[in-house]
Amino acid sequence: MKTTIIALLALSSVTALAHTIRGTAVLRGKAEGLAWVNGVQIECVVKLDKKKITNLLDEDRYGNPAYQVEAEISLVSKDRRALPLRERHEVRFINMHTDAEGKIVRDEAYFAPTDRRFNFTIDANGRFKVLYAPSAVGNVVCRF
Amino acid sequence: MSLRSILVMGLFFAASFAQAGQTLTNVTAVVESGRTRRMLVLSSVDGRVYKAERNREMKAYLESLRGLNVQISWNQVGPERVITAITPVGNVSQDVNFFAPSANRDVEPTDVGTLERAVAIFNGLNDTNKTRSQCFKRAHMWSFDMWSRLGVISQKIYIFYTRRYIELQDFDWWFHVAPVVRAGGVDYALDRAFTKKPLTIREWKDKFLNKNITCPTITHYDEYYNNQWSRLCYLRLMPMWYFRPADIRDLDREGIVKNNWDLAELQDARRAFEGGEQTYEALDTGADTITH
Repeated sequence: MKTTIIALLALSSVTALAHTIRGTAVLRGKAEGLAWVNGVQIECVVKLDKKKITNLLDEDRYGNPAYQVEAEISLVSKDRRALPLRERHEVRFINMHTDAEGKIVRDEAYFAPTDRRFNFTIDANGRFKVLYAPSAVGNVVCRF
Repeated sequence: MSLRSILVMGLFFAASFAQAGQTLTNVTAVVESGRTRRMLVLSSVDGRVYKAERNREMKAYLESLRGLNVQISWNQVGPERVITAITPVGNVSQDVNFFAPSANRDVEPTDVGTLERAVAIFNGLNDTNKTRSQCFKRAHMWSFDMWSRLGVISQKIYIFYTRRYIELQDFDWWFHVAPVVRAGGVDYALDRAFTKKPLTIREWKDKFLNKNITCPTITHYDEYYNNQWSRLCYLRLMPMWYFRPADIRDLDREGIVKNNWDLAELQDARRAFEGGEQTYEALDTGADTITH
């Protein structure tokens, strides 16, 4: 019994630690990547300037504060074999998620509350890794 | 006039004597008033200013007592305490010098009892124009005033804004501080420059930061210093003696404890209030101020 309690306590403290964020902010600037949708090559450009990265001024159940990011996303295809694609979106992303227990901030994962098909991940240094975005030719998965 | 004991010629006050008493203290400072023909003796046990008639002999005598433990006999004349005798007493067992550190000093914050009392204390604090002074100077003078006028041991609440908050919200401050008074077991921030009444720590925090944000209360400066991106703010409750954030850092990193008033800091802090140099002339060290 004693061992079980100790094990549970240890587990709960590990869980608590796991929810302490690093607070990594998305790097500002321009990220360019490539995606293929149904064999069509798409160039993805994400632009972020300093003024468009702010604190959401809300926090999760552990007290971790979330970010909000307004990004300009450009999806362009110059592939002559397919219909031309030229889309530009201004999308607000946040990293405040919801799981079974309530609100939870994730350092590396953002989504657009207005259209959850828009989302992206970053690495531990704040660099864009993958952008997911809907487009006229299908869902784009753009890697940077 | 004896050098060991001096009787002050205050006969013109005699008609208005209402109360007399004695204070065992240490002479922290002796200042010639620029506003009246008085010598001002800053007492270390209570922060009060005891006054004596100004003349060459008195000045020389009082200045010879600087830094010594003394017994002051006084008469209360209106709001003033007028010295009738002041005598050196040598070593004393009581803790009489709150302008010097003491290894044994361990003062608990005063509980003033009720919120009504806290409100009365709040209303008695010097009013100030917040644009003319910095918060840490106001907080220090208010703390000193509460201690010297009312005998209240207060605390201070610091809010530290992180780099994340400052950069992303384009915010100008990196900390704010206000004195805290305990009433009925509840701590209230007395921030007369920004609020109209005492506020609980949470209410006070909410005045300066979005209500959805909680600021963890820290017990070490580096919890703030090393975690600039995982939180937006931190709170730290400190004893009233700590003047600047650097004092908190020095406590936590170097173990430099402050449990006394520092005259140079008070000389600085008094400038928080318009006319502070005149109102608090007994706090003049004669040296330049240490902060702008």
